[in-house]
Amino acid sequence: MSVKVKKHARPGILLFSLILLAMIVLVGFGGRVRRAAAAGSTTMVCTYGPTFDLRTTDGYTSTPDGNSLYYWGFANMNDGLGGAFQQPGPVLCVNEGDTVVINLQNDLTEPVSIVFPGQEGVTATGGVPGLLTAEAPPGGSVTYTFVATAPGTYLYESGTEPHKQVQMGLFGALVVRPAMGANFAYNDPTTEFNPDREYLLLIHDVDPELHYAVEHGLPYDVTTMHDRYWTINGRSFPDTIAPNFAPWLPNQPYGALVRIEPYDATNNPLPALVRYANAGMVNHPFHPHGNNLTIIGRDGRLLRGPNGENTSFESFTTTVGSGQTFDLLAQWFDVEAWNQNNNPIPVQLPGLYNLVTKDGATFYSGSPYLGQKGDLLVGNTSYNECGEFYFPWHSHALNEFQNFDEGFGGLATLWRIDPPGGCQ
Amino acid sequence: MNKKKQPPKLNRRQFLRLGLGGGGALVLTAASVLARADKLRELAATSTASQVAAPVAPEPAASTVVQGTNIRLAATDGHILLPGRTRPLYTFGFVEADPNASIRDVIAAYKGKVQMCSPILDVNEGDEVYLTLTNLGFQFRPDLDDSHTIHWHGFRNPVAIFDGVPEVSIAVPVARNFPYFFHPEHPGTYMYHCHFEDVEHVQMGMNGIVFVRPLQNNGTGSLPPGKYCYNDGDGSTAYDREVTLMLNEIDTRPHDLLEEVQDFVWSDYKPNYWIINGRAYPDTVKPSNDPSLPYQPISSLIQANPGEKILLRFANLGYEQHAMQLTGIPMKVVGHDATLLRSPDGSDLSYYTNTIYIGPGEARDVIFEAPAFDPTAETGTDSIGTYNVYLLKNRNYFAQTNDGLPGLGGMVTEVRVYNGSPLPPQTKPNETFT
Repeated sequence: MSVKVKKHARPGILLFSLILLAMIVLVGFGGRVRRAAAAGSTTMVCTYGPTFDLRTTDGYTSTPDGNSLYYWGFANMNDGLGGAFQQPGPVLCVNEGDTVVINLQNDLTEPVSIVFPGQEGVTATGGVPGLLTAEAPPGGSVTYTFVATAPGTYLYESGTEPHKQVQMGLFGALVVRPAMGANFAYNDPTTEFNPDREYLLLIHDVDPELHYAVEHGLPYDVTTMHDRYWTINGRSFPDTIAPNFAPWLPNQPYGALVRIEPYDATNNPLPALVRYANAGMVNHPFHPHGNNLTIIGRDGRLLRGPNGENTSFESFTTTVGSGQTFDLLAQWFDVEAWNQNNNPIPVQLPGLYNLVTKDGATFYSGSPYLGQKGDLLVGNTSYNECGEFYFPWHSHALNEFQNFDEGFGGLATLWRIDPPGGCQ
Repeated sequence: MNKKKQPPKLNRRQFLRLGLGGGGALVLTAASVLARADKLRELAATSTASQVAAPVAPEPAASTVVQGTNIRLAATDGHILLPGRTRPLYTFGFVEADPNASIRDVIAAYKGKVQMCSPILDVNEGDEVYLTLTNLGFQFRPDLDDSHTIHWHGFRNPVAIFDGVPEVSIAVPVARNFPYFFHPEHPGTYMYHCHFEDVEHVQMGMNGIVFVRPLQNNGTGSLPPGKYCYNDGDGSTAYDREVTLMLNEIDTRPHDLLEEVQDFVWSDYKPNYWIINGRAYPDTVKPSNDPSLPYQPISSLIQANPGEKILLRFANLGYEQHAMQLTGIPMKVVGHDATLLRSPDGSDLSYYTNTIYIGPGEARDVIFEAPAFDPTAETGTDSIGTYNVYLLKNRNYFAQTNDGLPGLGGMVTEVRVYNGSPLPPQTKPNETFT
């Protein structure tokens, strides 16, 4: 129903423009080889251990439709700001075999704790006894210790009233890197990836009424849960494609734009690694346009059969259950190798006046060819930098592909395919 | 289908007078487009049906499947019928149209007469598929000028211009054509749908199944020509008959509100009908092109001779996960998201189950072998003969209802295994015999 959407479209256009402008500005400073890891990147941001000093605190996040939501969160006390509120918690990166120590300072007004699903032999020191583990009382602290024995992608989350505290934002991702090296997902040569192309997509679903209830001391009843927003790394689309540490999202530091270049046997042979983790309450069918992904790991375990056979498999939609994690390899192949000079597309595209770019703003380059820019109608805003392709990467429960009631939002990001060598 | 159960045949004027709406999923032959368009204009002029239930020309659909490499799909609106609901349901979708007809004639022939679900697209590995999308506009919401697209869901390594996402490429406005091109290289079962305001347009019905037949069907050094689901190399995905099963839910509220020019908050989505191929049980087991469902031509009835291998191509373009259970016959899952279930090192990852748990946007290829006819088991009879019936149903039994009304309904269909081998060979998917 275009009438309605057009009415609301302008803030989104402005936001898209800001994001793209910032991406272009920030990306422009990156060196060519290390661009993916440079400022403006959306690759996974590690907080390195193996000792972490976390605190719990509260603050606000913003949604693309102009709303703001009260959240709790884990913060890194060594972030130079004394542990500024952020959503989600820092990505804890450790190496296989590390003895991981997490000191938790509780600056909320009720007891909190952390549990580490998938880790074994976790011990707690200090704090007060709780149901699942020792808890840090308000103003107090507790320390958790474990040996990271199994490489993979994991969650860490509150173990105290999780139906409330996890929904309020007390969760984050934990990544254990294998002994084989940081460019492998597991101790297996088939899991090698391009270390400049490692992405975390940490999913959560949000009922703003529940957050409002906690903010205002009203009764909290999780059975009334009715999701209106969905987030990846604490942001809703289109904020998800903004760079890491975008200054206009001060409390939501992590981007989720998945950015790669076409496969090339010589210059770009390795896939990207994408880590899914679902910290929400329901499962989400996550669908990247552009190519199937290969699922190589699930819940911190390499996919292998009882006799060691490789049981990895492809999918175009991966349903990520509540609390689950997946590790996937992502590549895009320029199969047809179309170009305007000697291998044109086999159809005649209609003239621009007979086509529509959504709401007069587009990620389209104006050209069907990778690395080429073309004409767009006067008045159209283009977010395209150098003829790169964009593909949506979204929940196919399409009621989640929106912000409350505004489409092309919510549980989504984009997959950006740059031309070989990147934007020059 | 027992012919005695079919409703009396109505001519078009009688049908209109009854105000059944629903309308006809017209899939016209190339030659008849002009003549049919004239007839429809005449019919429309004589129609006294209300705005709500107005679609004309309840001709049964001529086809459920589109084959070949020169395809045209037309996007528009229309109405379908659901059990237990007298008011026809307002929908959007795609219909097949003559690739050579003018836009004016396609609009005259099909505007306001869409079918649900959209036609099955049946193409071959290596084909160069030219698919023209024509946007006819909406007959019942002339105030809307929505554009449309075709997104081939799961197509590997597309370029952005042919991926059909308006925000990252283009969309097709009213009364325009757009030429999509596909060169499918990977056999299996996929979906297609509109990606323009997809939260609304997909729920409104703009979705269908597209599948790719493998090169192995031509035969290899070790395998004879035949019907295979994948290039398996060993014949393990051979089958005798195939049925595509497009799973969806319907929340009737946004359909009704849209028809009445009202808004809906899409995060309030809560379906009350569950459908396969655009129909709810018991309509799912009516034959393809049944005249009582003129705009819902695709049957989900699964007919088999004993011992035959049946391929079920499942795809889910609803917004919920579904647990499709076949009791009494094991199902072998051979394909997942248009990929043979075989790992990179050649390990066989296929598996047997009775319940397929399938999320939105996912696809499964499943083969089962029809068991011997058991005369002592509970049997039914239709015009083909006597059969054992096995229910294929959504085990999440909230989906076994039509809007909460008494009795079995919803996302349910039947497998009928006949006494003897009365069924002739199937010539196209979802072909039913009566």
